[in-house]
Amino acid sequence: MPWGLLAPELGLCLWILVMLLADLAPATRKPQLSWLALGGIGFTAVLLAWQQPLWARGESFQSMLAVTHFSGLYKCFFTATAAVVVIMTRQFQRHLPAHLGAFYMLLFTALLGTFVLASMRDLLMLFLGLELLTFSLYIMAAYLKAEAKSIEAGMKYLILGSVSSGFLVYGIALLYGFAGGTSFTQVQNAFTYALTVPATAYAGMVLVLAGLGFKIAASPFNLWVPDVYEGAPTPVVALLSVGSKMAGAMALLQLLTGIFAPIAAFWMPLLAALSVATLLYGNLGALAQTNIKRLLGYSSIGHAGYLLMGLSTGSVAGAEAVTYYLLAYLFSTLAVFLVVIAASDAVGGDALEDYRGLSQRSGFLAAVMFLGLLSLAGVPPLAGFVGKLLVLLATVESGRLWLVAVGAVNVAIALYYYLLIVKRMYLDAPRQTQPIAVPAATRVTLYVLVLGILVVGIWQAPFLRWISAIR
Amino acid sequence: MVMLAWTILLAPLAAAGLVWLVGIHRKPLASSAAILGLLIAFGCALQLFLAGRSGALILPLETNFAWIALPGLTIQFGVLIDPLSLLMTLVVTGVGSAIFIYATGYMHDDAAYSRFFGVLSLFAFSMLTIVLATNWVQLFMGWELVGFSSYLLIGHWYAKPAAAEAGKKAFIVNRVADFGFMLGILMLWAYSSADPAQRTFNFLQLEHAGLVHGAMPVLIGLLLFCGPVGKSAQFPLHVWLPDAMEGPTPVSALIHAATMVAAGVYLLCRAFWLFEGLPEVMTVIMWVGGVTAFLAAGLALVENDLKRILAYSTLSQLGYMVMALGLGGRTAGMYHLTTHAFFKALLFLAAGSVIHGTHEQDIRKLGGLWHDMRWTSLTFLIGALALCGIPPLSGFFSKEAILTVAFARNPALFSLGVLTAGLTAFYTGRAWFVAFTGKARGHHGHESPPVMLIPLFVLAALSIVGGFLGLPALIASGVHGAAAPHGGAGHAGGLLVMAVSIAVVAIGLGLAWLLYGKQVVLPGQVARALALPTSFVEQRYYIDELYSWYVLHVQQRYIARSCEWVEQRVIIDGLVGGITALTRWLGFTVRLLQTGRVQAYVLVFLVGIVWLLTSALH
Repeated sequence: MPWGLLAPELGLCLWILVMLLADLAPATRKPQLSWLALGGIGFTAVLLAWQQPLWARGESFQSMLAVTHFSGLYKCFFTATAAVVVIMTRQFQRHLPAHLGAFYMLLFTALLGTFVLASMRDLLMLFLGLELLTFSLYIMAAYLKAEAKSIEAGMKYLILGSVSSGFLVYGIALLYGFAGGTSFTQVQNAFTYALTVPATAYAGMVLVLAGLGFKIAASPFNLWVPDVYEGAPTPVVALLSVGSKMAGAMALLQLLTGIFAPIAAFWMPLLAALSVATLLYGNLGALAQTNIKRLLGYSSIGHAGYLLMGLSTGSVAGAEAVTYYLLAYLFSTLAVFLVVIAASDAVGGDALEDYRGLSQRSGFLAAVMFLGLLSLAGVPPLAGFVGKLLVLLATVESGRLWLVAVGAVNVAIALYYYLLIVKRMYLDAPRQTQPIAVPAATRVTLYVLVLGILVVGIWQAPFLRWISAIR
Repeated sequence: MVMLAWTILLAPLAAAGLVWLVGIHRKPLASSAAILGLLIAFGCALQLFLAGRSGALILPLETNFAWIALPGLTIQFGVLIDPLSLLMTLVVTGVGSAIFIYATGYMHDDAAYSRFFGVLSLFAFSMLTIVLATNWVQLFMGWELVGFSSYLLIGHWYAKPAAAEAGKKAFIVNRVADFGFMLGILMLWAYSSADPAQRTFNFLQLEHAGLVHGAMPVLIGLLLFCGPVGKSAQFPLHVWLPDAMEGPTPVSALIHAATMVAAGVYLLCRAFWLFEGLPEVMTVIMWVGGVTAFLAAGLALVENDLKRILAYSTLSQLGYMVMALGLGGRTAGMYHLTTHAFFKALLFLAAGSVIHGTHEQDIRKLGGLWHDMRWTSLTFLIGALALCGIPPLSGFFSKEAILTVAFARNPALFSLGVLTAGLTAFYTGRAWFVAFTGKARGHHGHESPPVMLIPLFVLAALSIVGGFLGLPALIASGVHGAAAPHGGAGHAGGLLVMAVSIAVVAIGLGLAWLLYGKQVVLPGQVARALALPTSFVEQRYYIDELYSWYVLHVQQRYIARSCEWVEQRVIIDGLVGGITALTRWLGFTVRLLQTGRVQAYVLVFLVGIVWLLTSALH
C-alpha cells in the first residue's frame, strides 16, 4: 500500500501523540511548548515538501483520499495558518490556564481534519474531515473555562454545529440512496448519466450545501458567528476565521466542480442568492458593532459572501479566483488577528474604543493593522484587492451583473467600518501613552504576514500560475 | 548578462529599502548605501557596455517577467538593453554617482540627511525604470515615480513655504501633461493590433509591427508628446522648472538638469519610429522645442539668481534637444542630452559650491569669487565654455550637430537656433563676469571640501572630452536599418554652420564682456533703452500671470464653484447622507436578528434550509 501518500497525515498523527505526552511537562516548561508545536508544523511542512513530486500523479489511497496539486496547495495554506496560530497562542498563552499541550494537540487534530478534507474522494471522508476539524474547535472555543463567555461560545458552537452536521449527514444519506455509493466517482456518474435526477438527490445536495454553508458562515446558517467570535479565545477565533472557513470553501469548491458539476445550472442561482444574503448580512451587521472581535466576525461573514460569489460562477476562472481570494484573506486576516492579540492586554480589552490612539503607543502594530484592514477592504495594491478583482471579473464573465453591483456596493460599506477602526487608531487620542512592547516572535511573524500581503498583491503572476496548475 | 541587467535596476531599489528600513537614523549608513547602490548599477552598466562593444553581448537584450496577468491583458516588467538605454543608463548612474558623492558634502549638516539619500535612491530606481523599461506601462510607472521623488526632493525643506509651493507646482503641472500622456499610451495599446488578444505595450513589438490601419496616429503622437512637454518642461508647461530650484542644489543638478528632465527627450528617442512617420507631429515637436529654446534663453538674460539662470539655460538646452528630434536628428538630440548632462551637472554643482561657500545665490551680491574659490571658479568656467559651445569642449560638438540638422532641414529654426546660441553665450558670460570676476561685493567665500571638489573635477573632465568619446556612432548604432542620414548634410554646409555659430558665440561673449566685464556701458542704461522688451521678459512673458488668472478667475470661480455646489448639495447632502442613513438603519435592523438565544439561531437555520429546499425543488 502506498503509505507515502499519507505521509503528512501520519506525521500529524504522530505529533498529536507527542503534544499529548508533552502536556505532562512541568508547569514551568509549559511556555516552551509552542516551540515543540512549531517543530511539528515544520515536520509536516517537510513531509509535504517531500511528497510534492507525487502531487502531479493524482494517485488515490483506497479511493478514499487522493494526493493532487489541489490538495497539496491547500495543505500548504492550512499548514501556514496553523503556524501563525501557534505564534498567536504563544502570545496569548498566559490566558490559557492549564493543559497547554492539549490545546496544541487540538490544533493538530484540527489540522488533520483539514488535510483529510483537502484530499477527500468520498462523502464519508467529507464527514470525517469536517467532524475532526469541528470537534477540535468546539473544545478550543470553550477553552477559557473560567470565563462564562467562552463557555457560552463553545456551547453555542456545539449545538449549532451538531444541527448542521445532522443535516449534512442526512444529505449524504440521500445522495447515497440516489447513487448507490458514497465515492465521488459514483455520485458524479450518477448525476451525469441519470435520465432524470430525482428530487431527493437535489434535496441531498441542498443539505450538504447547508452543512458546508455553516462552516464558511453563509447566511442564514451563520448566526453563531458573532457570539462565538466574541467569546472564544482569540487564537481560536483566528483559526475559525481562516482555517475553518478556508476548509469549508475548499470543500465546496471540490464538490461543486466535482460531483455536483453535472447539475451546475441548478446550484448556480442558489449560490448567487446565498451570496447576496451573506454579503448584506455581514457588512450591514458590522456597521453597528462596538467590539473588535464581533466586528471581525461580521466582516468574515462578508468575505464568505465573496467566496460564494466566486463559487456561483461555476467557471474555472471563478474557482481560481476563490483560491486567490483565500490566499489573500489568509495573510490579511491573520495579520489583523495577531495585532488584536498583541494589543489586547495593553489596550485593556476588545472594545473598539480600546484602540483609540494605538498608533501613538505602537506605530508598528497600528501600521500592520492598517495594512491588514485595507487589504481586507480590497484597496490596491494589497492582496485583498486582487482577490476581489478576480472574483468580480469571473462574475462579470458569468453574466450576473447585478451580483457584481451588489459586490461593489458591499466593498464600499466594508471600507467604511474598516476605516472607522483606522480612524480610532490614528486620529483619536489614546487613554494612556505607555508604549506597547511586541515580542520578537510576534514581530517577525507580523513582518512575514505584511510581506505576504504586499507580494500577493503586487506580483500576482507566479501565484496565478501556481493556482492555475491545480486544474 | 541578464543578472547584470537586473542588478542595474535593483541595486538602487535595495539601497532605498535599506535606507528607509534601517538607515533613517544612521547618517553614514544612509549615504553609503545610496552611493554604493548607484555605483554598483554604474559598474554593471559599464560591464554590459564593454560586452556589447566587444561583441560578447548581442544587443538588444530584453528580459521580462509577467507582472500582472489577467485574462486578455498581460503587463510585463523587464529590462531592455540596447545602445540607447545603455548610454542613458551610463549617464544616469555615472553623473548620478558623482552628484551623490558631492551631496554628502553639500548636505552634511542637514537634519534630514538620511531622508534625502533615501529619496535620491528611490529617484535613481525610478529613473532607471524609465530608461530600462521594455513597455509603455513600465515606463509610465517610472515616469510617475520620478515625478513623485522630484516632488519630495523639491520640497525637501518643506518648512520653507516657497519650497513646498514649488513642489506642488511641479507636481500639478506634470499631472496635467501626464494625463494626456496616459491617454496616448492607452490609445497606442488599443491600436497596436486588430486582435484584442494580441495587443501589446511592448516597445520592440510595437516598433516591429507598427499600428493597425485605421488608427489615429497623429492624435496618438500628439498625446504622447504631452509627456515630454511636461517632464522636459517645454513651452507652455515650462513654468515649474525655475521654481524647482528651491530644492537642494544636488537635486537641481541631478534631477532638474542632467537626468529627469531629459527623460522626455529620451522618450522621444525611444519612440522615434512612431514620431518619424508623422510629419505633422514632427512639425509641432520642432517648433515647441525651438520656441522653448529661444524664450528660455531670453528669460536667462534678466535673471539674477545664479541657480535660476542655470535653470533657464536648462530649459533652453532641452528645447534645443526637442527641436533636434523634431527635425529628425535623433543622434544629434541624444548626443546633446549626454554632453548637456555633463556640463550642466558641472555648472550646477559649481554653483552649489558657491552657495555652500558664501550662502548667497544672487549674482549681484557676489563677485570676485575667482580669488576666493579658485577650483570652483575654474570648473564653473569649463562648464560655462562648454555650454556656450567653445571648441573643443563637448558642448561645441553636440550643438554643432543640432545646428547642422537644422540648417539642412529648416532655415527658420536654424536662425532661431543660432540666435539662441548667441543669447546663451551672452547670459553665460554675464553670470561669469558678474559673479566670478571683479571685486567681491560683501561676500567672501571659502573653498569647498575635497568631497565636493572631486566630483567637480570628474564632471569637468567629462565636459572637456565629451566630444571625443564616439558618442554619435554609439547612438546611431541603435537605429535599425535606416542609417542616419543627418550629420551628413554636406561638408561645406557643416563648415558654414560652424563658422556662423562660432561667430555668434564670440559676439555674445564679447558683448557680455563689454557690459559686465569692462563695463563700457552700464547694463542699467541698456535696460532703460530697451524698457518695453526688458519688462516683458522680466515678467517671464506674463505666462505665470496668465495661468494664475485662469486658475483664480476662471477655474476656481466658475468651474470649481459649480462642482462644489453639486458636491455639497446633491452628492454629500443627498446621496451620501441618504445612503448612510439607510445603511445604518439596515445595520441596526440586522443586529436585531442577533438575539443571543440559541433556539432562535436554530430556527433561522431551519428557515434557511426550508427556503433553499423550496426554491430548489419548485
